[in-house]
Amino acid sequence: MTLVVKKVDERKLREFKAEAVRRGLTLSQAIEEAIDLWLSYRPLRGEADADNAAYVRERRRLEAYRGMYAVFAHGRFIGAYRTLEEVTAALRALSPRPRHAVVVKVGEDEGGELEWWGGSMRP
Amino acid sequence: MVGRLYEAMNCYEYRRGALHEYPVLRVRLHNLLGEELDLELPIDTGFEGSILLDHETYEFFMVGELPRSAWRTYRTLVGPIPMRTARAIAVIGDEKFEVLVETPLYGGGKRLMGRELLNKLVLVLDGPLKRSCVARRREPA
Repeated sequence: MTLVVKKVDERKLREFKAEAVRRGLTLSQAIEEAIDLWLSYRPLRGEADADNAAYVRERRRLEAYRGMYAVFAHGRFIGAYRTLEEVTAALRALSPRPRHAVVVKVGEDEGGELEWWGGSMRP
Repeated sequence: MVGRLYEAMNCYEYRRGALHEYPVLRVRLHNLLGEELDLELPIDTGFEGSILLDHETYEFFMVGELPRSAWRTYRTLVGPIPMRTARAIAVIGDEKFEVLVETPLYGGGKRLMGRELLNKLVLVLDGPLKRSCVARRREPA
């Protein structure tokens, strides 16, 4: 079938076309692959969204657990633990076993910008 | 200091590159469920993080992902590359390290071991012999 899409970001589309060429795909093959990928990631993304939303809700209360690992899974706060062994035990005790969890070392995991000399995403 | 002695413990053959061979290390990684995965990772001293992974391999570690606000970004020649970031345990030889594994938020990614982890190891890169070794410093008698 023919598909017409308006208002697509030009830069993103240019990168997408270039990547399709690099992988030896036509534009329609690449779009189909992207659709498959997006659909297959959907459940996982849902779990990640729920865990991140739980983290954002609880963020202010985490100050009491400074230096500990706070764990969020199944969209809720599971607990705060002193060691990663305790985190593993807590995650393994959950039913169903989570495919995604947010684990944050309170007061220490803060992101930031690092460097990668000559970094390239080409395989 | 001159005259220091290093004893090679575990050695790995360099892999064939486009033109020149490159050093690799083998590492056992555990996710936060305690499941394990053995990987061979090219050594990249230009990468400041611990371990970079392709998207598919990274999924194994998503049971210990950092919140989105704590994900890291890398400055590169082609502009900033935002990453997803997760926590894992790396076992190299008989040592265990808590590490962060990452994969690009957009794109497929690749496998590398960078300075954040390399700086915790004693490494011998024997170019002529084409072997990378995890080593131990031998104290003078």
